Parts: sequence; C-alpha cells; structure tokens
Amino acid sequence: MVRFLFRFMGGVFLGLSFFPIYLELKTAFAGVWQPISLGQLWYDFHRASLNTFQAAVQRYAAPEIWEYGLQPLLSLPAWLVIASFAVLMMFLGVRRDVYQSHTD
Amino acid sequence: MWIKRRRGWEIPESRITPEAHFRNRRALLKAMGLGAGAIAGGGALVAGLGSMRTAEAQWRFGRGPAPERAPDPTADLYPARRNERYTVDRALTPEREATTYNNFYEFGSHKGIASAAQRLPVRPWQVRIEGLVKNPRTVDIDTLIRALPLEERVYRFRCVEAWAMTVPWTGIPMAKLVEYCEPLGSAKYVVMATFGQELSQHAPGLRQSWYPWPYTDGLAIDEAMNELSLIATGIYGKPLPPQNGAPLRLITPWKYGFKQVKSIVRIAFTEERPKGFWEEVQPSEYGFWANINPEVPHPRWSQAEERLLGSGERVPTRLYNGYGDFVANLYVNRRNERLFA
Repeated sequence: MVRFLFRFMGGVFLGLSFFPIYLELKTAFAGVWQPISLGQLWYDFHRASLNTFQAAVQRYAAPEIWEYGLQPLLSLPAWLVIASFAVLMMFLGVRRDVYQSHTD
Repeated sequence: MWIKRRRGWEIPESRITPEAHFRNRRALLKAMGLGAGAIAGGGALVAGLGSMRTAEAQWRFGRGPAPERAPDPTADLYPARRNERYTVDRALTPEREATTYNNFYEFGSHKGIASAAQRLPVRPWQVRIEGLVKNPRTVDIDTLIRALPLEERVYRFRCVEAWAMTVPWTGIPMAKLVEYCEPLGSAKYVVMATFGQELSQHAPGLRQSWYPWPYTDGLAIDEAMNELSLIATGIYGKPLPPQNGAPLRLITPWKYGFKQVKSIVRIAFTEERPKGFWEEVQPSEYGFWANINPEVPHPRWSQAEERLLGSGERVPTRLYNGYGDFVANLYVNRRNERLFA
C-alpha cells in the first residue's frame, strides 16, 4: 500500500513537472525564454508562505540551511526539481518482488 | 555424539565479507546516497555545507574575524552637534544591541546579519538622483555628505516585528536633501532604492531572483519635507556601520522600520505612488503609509506593545510612535487611505 502511494505521488509530481515546462514554453513563444526556478514558481503562487518559510528556517533553524541548502535548491529549474522528486518517489515505490527478481 | 546446532545468528567463517569488499560497499552506498540527494537538489546542500569549512563561510555567520575596512573619509564630521529639539523620554539603547540586532533582507531574514553585512563595500559609493528633477545626476557619497549640514537627533525606532530601540542618529534633514535634488513641481513622491544585483556577490539574499530587488520604498513629498524625516549617515556619534544601512539611509520615526530604506543608491522623484518591496511581496500585511498605530494589529501579531532592545522591557506603543504632534497633520486629508499597515 505504501509503495503504491509512493508510485502514485511520483506520477502526480511527474505530471506537475510539465507545468513549469509549459510556462517556460509560453515565455519562449512570447519571444523571451525565461527559465522558471522553483523559488520563482513558489513566489508566483504563494509568496507569503515562501517568505514565512524562509524566515522560519533562517531564524529558528540555521541561516546556513537556507543559504547553502534551500536557496540553491530553490534556484534550480522548477521542472528539474519536481521531476527529480517524482523519480525518487517512483524509485521508492518499486514493487519488492520486481526488485528481487532482478537481484536474485 | 556431539552435534553442533547453529543458532540463527551464527554464520560460518567462510561467509564473512572481506574487509575490502565491506568498505567498497559502504563507499558505494555513500555514493548512491549522495547521488539520490543530488537528484533532489540535495547536492547543493551537501556541497554548500562542505564549503562551510572555509574561512569566508565561518566569518559570514559571525564565527570569524571581519575583513579590514578602510577608514570612512567623512569620519571627521562625527560626532555632529546634537539637536535638542528631538529628545525622548527613554534611555538610549546600548550601542551593541542597536548595531547587532538588525533586519537587512539583502543579507537574509535572520537576526545575525550584522557580521554578514560587514562584506558590503561602502566606498566608493554613488547616489543617482533622477526622475522629476531639474538636473538628473550621480553624486559621490562623500561630496553629498559634505555638501549638506549634519546633526544628531535621538529618535525612537519601532520595527513592525514589535521591537523598539532609542538611537542617536546623525544625518541630514531630508528637506535639505530634497532641496539639493531640485525636484520639479510635478513631483509628488520620493522613491529610494537600496543597492541591487551589482553587489550580489556580497549580499546573498539578492541571489533569490524571485524577490523584487532592489529594495525600494518611498514617501509622499510632504512626508519627506517633514522636519522629522532624516537621511542618516551615522549612529552613536560615528559613521553608520553596514548593518545599519551605511552609508546613507532613511529615518522616519513615526513609521515602521521597513519603510526606512538602507544603503541608498537611488533617489527618484515621481508623480505616481511607488510600490515598496514589502507592499509588493506581502500586500495583505504591508502598505505604503505604514504609520505606527497600537490599535491596528499586524495580521499575525498585536502592535499594542513593543519590546525594548537591551532591557527587554515591554512598553505600550504610541500612535505615530509618539510623534503625533509633528506628523498627524500630514494625514488629515488622507483618512480614507490605509494609513496604519
């Protein structure tokens, strides 16, 4: 059941990863291709939560986590991060019997 | 007859993995772990945390010495004569508190930015004067500071986060600066902007490309001409340190701190009301006027009281931060506006 959920989430995120690609294509057809970072996507959809999340991490966890970890992550292309997360979910959801048949 | 029965956990010597293979497997697992992390962007985290060992990173977060800074070319102007018209009924905040507990979003949103801000090169520094002015021009900061009169004023300062301090600022009355800029009669607002991408190597927050940098905010012309408005160049009888907005920042003590633009590189006069950084980022929480009013809470916390830096004492906040006699008349004809957020 848990593995199914991982596979399902993976499928959902894989589908979602096409959304920033669609947005980037739109900018490309408008004449200026604009890569969309994960941070930009978050900012465009709910800037208040991004700002609050940043303040919470920097003030209550450690500034280093934001500056050296999350900020670079949020600066990556949105489609890449979401698709990578989808692949990871799918990998975690691979059925054990399928996995074993290849390893035995 | 002696029969040896192996218990479940016992395995023959022959099946023990050679040490070299064991280490290789650990290395392989480590590599796989790192690879997965990299896929999810965690690679950036691993690389970043690795670089935390560098002296620069340690200094950046206050764990090492700050770089050498050249002496301020206007240091001879401090301390300036204190203007006794602007006194307060509170003790001065200890200098150490006022210069180490700061907000400066170009360096992050944490409260340890005082050491990070030391990287900001405040000389050479130029200020662009533009928009609806007779003569758009760029002036060197030292020329500007020496061209206008400096004085010291003790003001209360209230942050929207509900902390407060009492600080002796040194600066130029903003009315004098506005005259120096020679705005046209059609100018209704003054817009001020902090440095931007040109200094992003010193200010890591600027690399968050999704925010509307540079940090910008403004005042109506009559607010800028009000006698309380000050363009600060110093604090505690010395030139401003970077974390407090060197070399030039706005001080409007009846407004929340986020209105008071730091490290100004651009002053523009416009006919249209500007949209400030926070008004752009969180319009439901921050507006253009941002006057202090204890009866108008922030959407997430009360503004009725403030915590004094240094003593930690909680005291009631006052309308216009106690400066109503100086500024209340500015808003008589603006009652329909969102004056207090």
